[in-house]
Amino acid sequence: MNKTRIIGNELLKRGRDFFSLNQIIKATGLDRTVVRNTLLTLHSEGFLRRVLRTPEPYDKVKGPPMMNIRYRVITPSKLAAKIAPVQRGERNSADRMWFVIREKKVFTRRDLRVLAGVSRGYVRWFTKMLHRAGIICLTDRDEWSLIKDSGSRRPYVGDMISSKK
Amino acid sequence: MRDQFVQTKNVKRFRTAVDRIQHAKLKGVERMALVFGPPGLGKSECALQHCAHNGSVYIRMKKLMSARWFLRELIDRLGDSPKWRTEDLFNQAVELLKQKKRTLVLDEVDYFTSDSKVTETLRDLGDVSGVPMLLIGMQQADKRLMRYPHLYDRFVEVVRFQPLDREDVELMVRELSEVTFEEDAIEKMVVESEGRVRKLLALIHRAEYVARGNKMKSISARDLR
Repeated sequence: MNKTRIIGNELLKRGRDFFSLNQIIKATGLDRTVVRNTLLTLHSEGFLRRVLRTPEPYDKVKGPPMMNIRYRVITPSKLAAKIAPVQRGERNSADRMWFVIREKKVFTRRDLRVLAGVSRGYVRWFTKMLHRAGIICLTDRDEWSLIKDSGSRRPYVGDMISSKK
Repeated sequence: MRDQFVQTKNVKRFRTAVDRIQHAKLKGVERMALVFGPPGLGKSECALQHCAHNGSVYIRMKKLMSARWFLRELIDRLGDSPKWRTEDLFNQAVELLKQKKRTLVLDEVDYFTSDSKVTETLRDLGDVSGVPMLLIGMQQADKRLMRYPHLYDRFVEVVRFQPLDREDVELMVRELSEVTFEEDAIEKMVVESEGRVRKLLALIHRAEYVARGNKMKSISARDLR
């Protein structure tokens, strides 16, 4: 689980109550810098509201004072949606092709046409774009290999035409 | 050759098995099925085609796969990043499967029949999350899985993929080939393919090559020498 999700789950447990940076550090056991940066990002994205910001008692020899910041979750449902794992909707043609590519690793264009049920032209375009992006390579005559697996979500290749120009 | 997925009798049996495990939760009715058969009959292709169109999770088991490796792969397929501890991994998998019920299709299940940990993990996952599971194995998969009665009892459907008969071969030839086959040529294809999809596709390719080279519109058994 990534760190944003760990921190997000901890924030959701508190509902709409105020919380401080130190409380979250203690609850998650993560590094202070990581928690501080994550909270700052969530604040800048509009998920948290800063309700208090006062300097802590000054005990350092040099450097700026540490700040005691209190936050509050603005809308818990929005935060829950942000940290939730990726949910796939209905698969479209490109998703189906990416699924077949990932599972077969070595494939032909015919495999994509038959198994994913996609037209000849779209298969040609999609493989060409993936090839240009360095995700697949041609290993033999009409035999392609997956060389860079970016995970279960298909890579976005829609802007490749404009970038080529 | 045309780009089509042909609905042979084996494919229809496969779809029936999937339909039988995708019912609403009924007390005492499990959601597991086993599909097995000799190699070259199109089990994996059929499973891939089904998963690509229905959003099911497809995992090809590996010989060295442990229960932990399996859970990590499952979570990756479900679109999340796996946790570190085994206990957390299992709970994460259950949680993700409960959030959105997707059929699990596990190919080459023969590989884990020697590892009871994977088998029992599968059973646990099925019991706790209640997702439909379809296991695909090789020729002796049913006999190997019979050693685990707790798992085998849960199969509501056990489907054996049969070699293609004359009707299936004729259907495939007519739907896939761009040249016409005469009756004697189809008879020859039935004998030479031995009911295997892989061999039949190679024969159709060869026949089309011959037909193209000689500018023929139909193929007879004599041309297939």
